[in-house]
Amino acid sequence: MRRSLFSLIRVALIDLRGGLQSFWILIACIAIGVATVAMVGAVGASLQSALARDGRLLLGGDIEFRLTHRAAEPAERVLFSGLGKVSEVVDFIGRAQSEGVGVLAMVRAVDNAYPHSGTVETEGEGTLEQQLAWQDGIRGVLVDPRLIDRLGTSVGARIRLGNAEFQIRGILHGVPDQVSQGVAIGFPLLMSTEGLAETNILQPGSLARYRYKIDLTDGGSAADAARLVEQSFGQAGWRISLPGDATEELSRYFALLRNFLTVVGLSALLVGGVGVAQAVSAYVTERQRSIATMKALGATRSRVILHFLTQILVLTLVGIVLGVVVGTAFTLLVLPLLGPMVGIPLTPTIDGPSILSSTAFGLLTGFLFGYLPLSRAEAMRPAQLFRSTESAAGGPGSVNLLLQPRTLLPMLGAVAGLFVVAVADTGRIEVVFWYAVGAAMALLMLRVAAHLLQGALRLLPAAPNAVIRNAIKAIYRPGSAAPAVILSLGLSIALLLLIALVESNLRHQLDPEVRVDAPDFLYMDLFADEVAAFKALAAVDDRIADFTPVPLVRASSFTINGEVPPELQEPPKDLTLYFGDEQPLTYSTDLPYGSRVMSGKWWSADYSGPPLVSVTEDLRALLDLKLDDQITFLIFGQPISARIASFRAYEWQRGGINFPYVLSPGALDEYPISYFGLITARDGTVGELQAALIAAYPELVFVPIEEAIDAVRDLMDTVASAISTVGGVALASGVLVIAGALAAGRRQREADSTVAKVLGATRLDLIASLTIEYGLVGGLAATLAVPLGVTGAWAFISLVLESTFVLDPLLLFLVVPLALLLTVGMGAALTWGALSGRPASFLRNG
Amino acid sequence: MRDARVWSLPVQPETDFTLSSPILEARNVNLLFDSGRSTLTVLRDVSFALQPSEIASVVGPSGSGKTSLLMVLSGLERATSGSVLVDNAEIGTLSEDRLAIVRRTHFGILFQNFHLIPSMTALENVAFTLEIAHPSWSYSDIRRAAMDALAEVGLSARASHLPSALSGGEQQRVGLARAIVGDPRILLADEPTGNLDQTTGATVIELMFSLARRRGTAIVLITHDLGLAARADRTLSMNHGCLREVHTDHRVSV
Repeated sequence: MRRSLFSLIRVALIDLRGGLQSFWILIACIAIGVATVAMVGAVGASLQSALARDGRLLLGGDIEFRLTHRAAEPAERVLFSGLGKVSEVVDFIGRAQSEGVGVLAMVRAVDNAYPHSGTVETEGEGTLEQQLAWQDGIRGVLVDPRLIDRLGTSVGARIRLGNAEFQIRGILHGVPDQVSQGVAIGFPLLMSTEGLAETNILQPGSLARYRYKIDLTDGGSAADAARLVEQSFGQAGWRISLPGDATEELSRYFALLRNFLTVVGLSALLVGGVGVAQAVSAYVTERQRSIATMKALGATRSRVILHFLTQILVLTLVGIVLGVVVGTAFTLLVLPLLGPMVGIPLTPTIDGPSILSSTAFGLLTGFLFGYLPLSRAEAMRPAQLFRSTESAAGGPGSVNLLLQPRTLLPMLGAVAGLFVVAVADTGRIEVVFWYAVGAAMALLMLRVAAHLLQGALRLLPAAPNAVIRNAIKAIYRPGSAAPAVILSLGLSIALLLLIALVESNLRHQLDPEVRVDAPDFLYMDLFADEVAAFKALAAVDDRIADFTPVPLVRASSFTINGEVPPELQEPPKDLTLYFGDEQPLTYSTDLPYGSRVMSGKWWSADYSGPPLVSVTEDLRALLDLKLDDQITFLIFGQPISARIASFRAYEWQRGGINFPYVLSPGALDEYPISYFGLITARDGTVGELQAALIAAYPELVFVPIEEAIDAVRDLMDTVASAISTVGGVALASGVLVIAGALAAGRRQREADSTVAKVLGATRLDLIASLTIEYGLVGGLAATLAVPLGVTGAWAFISLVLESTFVLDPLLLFLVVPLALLLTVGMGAALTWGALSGRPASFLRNG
Repeated sequence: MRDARVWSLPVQPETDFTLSSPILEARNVNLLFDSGRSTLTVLRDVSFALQPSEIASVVGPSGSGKTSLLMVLSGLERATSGSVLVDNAEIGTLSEDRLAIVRRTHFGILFQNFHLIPSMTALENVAFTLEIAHPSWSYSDIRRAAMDALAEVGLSARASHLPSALSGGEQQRVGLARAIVGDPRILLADEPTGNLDQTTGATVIELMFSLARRRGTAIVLITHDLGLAARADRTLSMNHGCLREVHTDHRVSV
């Protein structure tokens, strides 16, 4: 048995040495797909394992208690101290100023116990405590180098924050628990809590996060500590995070991104699979006489198929090894660069599971796509092989052959294997299922369309023009590359469109053109007297086109019809940037700008009855809410109930602030209200107004909307770049496959062109014929690719990201000419030898 | 037309083939190709028997069905009706895999276009027959047997050469070595000299006949060449799918 196996492998390898050059496309297709999947998997796994492994480091302690808008009361501090060593950290958005220039800063004030673990990365003299301490009549701060650049100052210089002055003592490169801060608006700045007190920026109710990070005493359980705080101060609205919780949101984003990129990588393998099928098909065609000879010598069907399958699998393995090596090398290069970008230390490691899964993907893809063309040749009778002039692999009866158990079952096994590996890799069975359905539909649609095109052209009456007639005949004649080109080009263009549309949608979310009505500045914590002052200013200052105060109260938690909805583990997305897991509430007489009522009714302007609430459509779907449900908010420890009167849809890109919950007038009158102040500058006065506002209200913090959006845009850019990079690699695979499909028919085309020339055809005739032929094929592929790519992108944006899908008509407009250019250009390049060479030379050389 | 004198072979003792049972027999074989629109009759009611060690030649114009007859006899093509018996066993009802086993145990086939596997050396091409037929043999045994076969056709020195490095005559000799290395009882030769010049063709034919005689192998030789055909124990003629006897010297019913 073993000897037979060795004999089989030995002969297969011997026989392979003559055909290696036919397989560079197969090897490259597998290598590209495997490298992509391996790289995405390894980077994703490294991120996830860093989040899991360094949970305590990234949280900054064993447990964190967090409050927004007030510091811990003395009794709460006593309780925390009893649990272990406490570090107090206050995060807020501030404005650093120097000589009239103001730059938004993500300020973190820390005490001397900070950090419990890890180190603050700085450039400067002395310890962190010394750098932030009072020296020579001034306290120190550490700042991000970009902040220094923006302020146009240097280390050692003085800057102002609120009412206090600080000296820049050094450069801040990062804090160990940076990730748990969330998306940063402004540049990082580190100061001491003593320094914070002197700024006088934070007042009760101000938007700041007070974090108490506790290094538990030995034997202390984080769960026990959490329970104790909940029991003692359950109504105070403390948020409790354990290691892992801090990075939960980030982990979810990474998982989402990784899943998408894995799907793109799998698409690369799918397109590559078409290349595998073409390469095997071409190889089998080339070797059909050898197959016949083997059968004539007495080789059984199984022997023939094992012989060639061994060869295909060996070549697939070569591709896999190449892919794994390239993917791993790229991963090792990328991880050290990626770490600082996401604020997580990423050690370059080789990820075994990613290598295993990408290997499995490669092997299964190679088998799945190579098996059918092999089976076609294997199923043909040897005498047919001796006679057949068309491709044995693409011969008639392929559907019947596919439906035969001995063909279908192994292929179904490979599909099931791919499905299992994909589910194991992504952990998202529904995503994999729908992707598989989509991919199968795409393959089927393109295959059937190619068949229909050939059938339709065959039925057409002969064209009066010989060039057109020849071009049309070339599409449906036996052995035509048209079906393969339509399949590979259609898939490639669909993939290109999908990636381009996803990327354009991500960027569109933050496109300044979309936010035409957005205000320019946002004051985050205004009190009633400050609102009055701004109103007065707006009345006299021509540069202010509009000032709108928006009342705001924060609820620490809420219940629906008396119960805590389990879905609340998912915080509403809209304003998590500003509020994290707090629920921001406002009231309004009028329907907010940019909103429209989808169901229920907006209250009348003079409504004064029991509290009503209007909720966004997103939350209705997320929390399964219905009209007339009672929502009870906990505000400053006091419950307030409101009946749902309407649901609203909102386009956040259009400006303003979307509050998930808008209450009826009077509902929040009993509570201390702060305001968001939205200021719109007149055209061309933004810079001037900004400087004037800083000068007029130095103690107030405002966010220039563009800067805030920039922070998110940076993040989106990183995501979009990752998608583009992976997408680009996937497309390379597509181009290779198209080249392969065209190259497969090259010999025949050269022969045809030569004969045509011998018979008197000019080069122009040949080029015209080729352009018409590939134009028809490319046009059909592109036309089919558009709905495929758009559907895929819509599914990802709408269903997975739950965002509004926007179709960029320019992309659609570009697809068809791109496809035509690609096919005609590559077709011409590959047959250039026949078009430009002398017929005699080709005829002599055969 | 080739000169018949070129094919002068050693005189063989006459054998009475009627005394033994045929090693290969076709009974009322018809072969039709249905193209959907029309049906082409390739073989019409062909009956034929080949005795062990007998050499039969089949002549006829191109397209007369000679190669198709050879395909049907070897099980490479299935007859539309009628039966083919190898060693008194009907092969028409056998599965493809059983047919493959019959071929490897009973037949050696020599093609006009040689059909050597281009990626394999001469030795590997010959060994390949044994790799298929005897997968459990050690490679050294296979190699030795293949080398012996190459030696028999005088190509030991060319064992490591790829087909592309061999002349047409040499390629056909490798084909012959491959055909006889499994010691088949029947050798089917489809115009083995069709692609060779007269001298080279004569060498190959002489070699084939002498090896067959020595090993007691029966031969069905397809050829256009009447002179060559005459060297066989008997000659059959194929025309429009019908097979009939040309020589009546040997008592074989057609």
